[in-house]
Amino acid sequence: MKDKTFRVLLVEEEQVLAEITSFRLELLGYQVHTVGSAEDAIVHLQATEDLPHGIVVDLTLPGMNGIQLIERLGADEKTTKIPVMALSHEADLDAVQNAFVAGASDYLVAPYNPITLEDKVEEMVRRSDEAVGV
Amino acid sequence: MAGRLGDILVDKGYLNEKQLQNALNAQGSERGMLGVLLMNRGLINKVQLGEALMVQFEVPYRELAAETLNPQLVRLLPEKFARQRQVVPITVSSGSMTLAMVAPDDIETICEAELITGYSIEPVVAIQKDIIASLDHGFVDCRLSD
Repeated sequence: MKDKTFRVLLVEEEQVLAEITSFRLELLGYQVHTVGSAEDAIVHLQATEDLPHGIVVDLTLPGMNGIQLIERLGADEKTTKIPVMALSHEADLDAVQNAFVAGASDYLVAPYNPITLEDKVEEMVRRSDEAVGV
Repeated sequence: MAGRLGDILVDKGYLNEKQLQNALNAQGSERGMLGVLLMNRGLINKVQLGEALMVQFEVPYRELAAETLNPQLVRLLPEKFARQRQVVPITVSSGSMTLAMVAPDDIETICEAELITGYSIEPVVAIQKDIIASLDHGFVDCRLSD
């Protein structure tokens, strides 16, 4: 699928969703790092030198929620250019708009079609690649 | 396969020969239907059917509770495929998927499910009614999902 390995950070507390999403993306050649909370995501992003090309954030998280995390990522110089896709069980317009207002670049409603996930992640990392100018 | 479902139920003492013959006379040729027909007639219960299916196919039996199944799991297989083959994914772990099937000896379906999902398939047998209910639950339309 790709000449280079793209890294994706998956922020997902729900074990089944984390397993399914990471497996699917790894199958497509993505390098996936999974964390179960917004706090762990922040720790990971602060510590790593290999920033992800895209971040998938479930909006329902323990502690800091997904919207707060997306806002935080947008405000941090280190992570502000990384595209973030919001993953949510909420399909209503308010929930979608809240995610985009917070800074999400895309939105996916769970349960999702695996093909839709693949398309959206591919678009996300392509956008990231262009932003970095590689 | 370790025998025919009706014979297994008779061997286990859940059914007598006459009841079986009556049911077979009423049954169409569709697979998986004898057990349902026997349950509908009140001749066997779900537990007894599950035990017999486990013996017949030599794989574990799973009673499915549709409402507790994560819809994302169900959607790992395309709806059309899952309904045609009467299968539903029920767990995944470390590259392996447990697939509930009406006919877990259907090697072609297992191979295709492995190709579609990338998971290694562990088949278990389940009752047709449970599989349909699980698929209905998992494929309830979600407005913005696609």
